[in-house]
Amino acid sequence: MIADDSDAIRMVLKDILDIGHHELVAEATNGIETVEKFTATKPDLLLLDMAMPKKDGLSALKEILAATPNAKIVMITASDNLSTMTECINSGAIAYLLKPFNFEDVLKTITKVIGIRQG
Amino acid sequence: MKIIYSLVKMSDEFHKIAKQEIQTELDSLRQILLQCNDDKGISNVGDQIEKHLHKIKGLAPMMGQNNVGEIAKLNDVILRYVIRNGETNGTYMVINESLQIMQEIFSDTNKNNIDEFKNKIRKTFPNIFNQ
Repeated sequence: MIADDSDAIRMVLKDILDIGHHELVAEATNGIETVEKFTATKPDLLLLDMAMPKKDGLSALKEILAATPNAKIVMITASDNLSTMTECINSGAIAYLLKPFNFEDVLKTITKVIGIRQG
Repeated sequence: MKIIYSLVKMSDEFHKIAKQEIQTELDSLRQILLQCNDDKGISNVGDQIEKHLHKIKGLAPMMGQNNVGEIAKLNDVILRYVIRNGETNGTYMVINESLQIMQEIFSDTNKNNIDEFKNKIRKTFPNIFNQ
């Protein structure tokens, strides 16, 4: 599942998922929709943007993990602020991706995270 | 793996959408800056400016607008300092000039030397960029 308010970013991520032969089960453009669609589809992986309207990515992350503790969530951010990244990981994100993307790193991260067995 | 980069980056549809989104961010930034008259004004809306700079910084390089992305990144560093430390001399002038130059680059009307401009930003805030 992809959650980002930017159509262009979602388009890039969709292409990368496609190249990696991963199926896209849902998309969301704001934090509220993200939580709703995650709950409805329970995807293997959620790529979640930090800065989204209605509910920010960090709040959505915490809400999803409270209900589904083994959810695999990779945060997406354009902030290279170390404290932002640390907060994502400390809140339960499995990894984070920095924008602008290195497309190869994105695919490697997706493949690696999806390959991690659920505890 | 280079094929991944080509497949994604060369999409005309991606370029069209990304261009519209960056222009929207530049327009939003302009509206916010219209509310500011000085460095204090910038510090009052620092977090709002930062959100739009993040969008530009994250998306512009993916459509080949590296200079726009780099100017946004330099301004993001300045804004992060302002948010942490408050009103900072020179921010009003630099952020307004940066917006104008980002727009000119984006509209393909820029006649400035971009490297000189980026150096000027760094030299205006030695305490931020030499840390």
